[in-house]
Amino acid sequence: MRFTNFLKRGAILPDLAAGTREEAIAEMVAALHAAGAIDDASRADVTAAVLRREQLGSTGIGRGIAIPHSRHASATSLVGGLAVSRRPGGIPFDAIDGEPVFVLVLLVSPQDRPGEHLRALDCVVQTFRDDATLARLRGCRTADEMWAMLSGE
Amino acid sequence: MGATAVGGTSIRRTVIVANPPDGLHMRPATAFAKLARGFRCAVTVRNGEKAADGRSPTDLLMLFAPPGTELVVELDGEDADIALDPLVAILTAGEYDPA
Repeated sequence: MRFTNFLKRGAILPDLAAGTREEAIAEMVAALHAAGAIDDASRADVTAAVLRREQLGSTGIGRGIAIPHSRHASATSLVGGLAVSRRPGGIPFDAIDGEPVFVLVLLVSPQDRPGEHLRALDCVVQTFRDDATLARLRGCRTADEMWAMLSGE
Repeated sequence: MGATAVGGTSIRRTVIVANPPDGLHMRPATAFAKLARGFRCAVTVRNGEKAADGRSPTDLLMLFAPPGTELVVELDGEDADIALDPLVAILTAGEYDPA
């Protein structure tokens, strides 16, 4: 599985406006909705589901990365969004290392395919396993640049 | 499972099967890493030839361990004795929601 198999090109945000975890998740779900990956009726509930998941424990996995996610009944396939925060202090996310978050990947997956969800998590952490890749992504100024980097275009 | 005491440092090793309903997904991985950071001993989790630093949720997720995967947990350090059971309990709990 490649990142660009599930990443929606229209849900890449190179300059996230959000200043809080809640705002970031709402903004990213809105982008997935705008990209046509979440239907009108499910948008609010997907946002709530992702926020509920955060209440069980932060998805900030350290090194400035967070992977907020949810399995949702409305999802018929795994879809993802990507965002970079340009705020000097990043986004407070209660991450495991206590550091703010600068790179966020939102995953929304069907409830009946846990294996696919696990593969997507693996794919995301593999993609950003080294600091140089993370720095390159944060250096991208546009969604097209980010897509090109991740797809190898 | 075995325990060895060498000069005041205990080394313990155990083989377990990961039982969370959806494998080693983010919640058990982060819970495990967070708990591991609270102990002084080195914590390594292995899935076949892949090894993860038990303090790193990123490392743990890269083990890619679906349900039933046989994971080896290795602890090395003076508090390994007290760290083993709670750490293994996270991997075998099977009480996590699919998230």
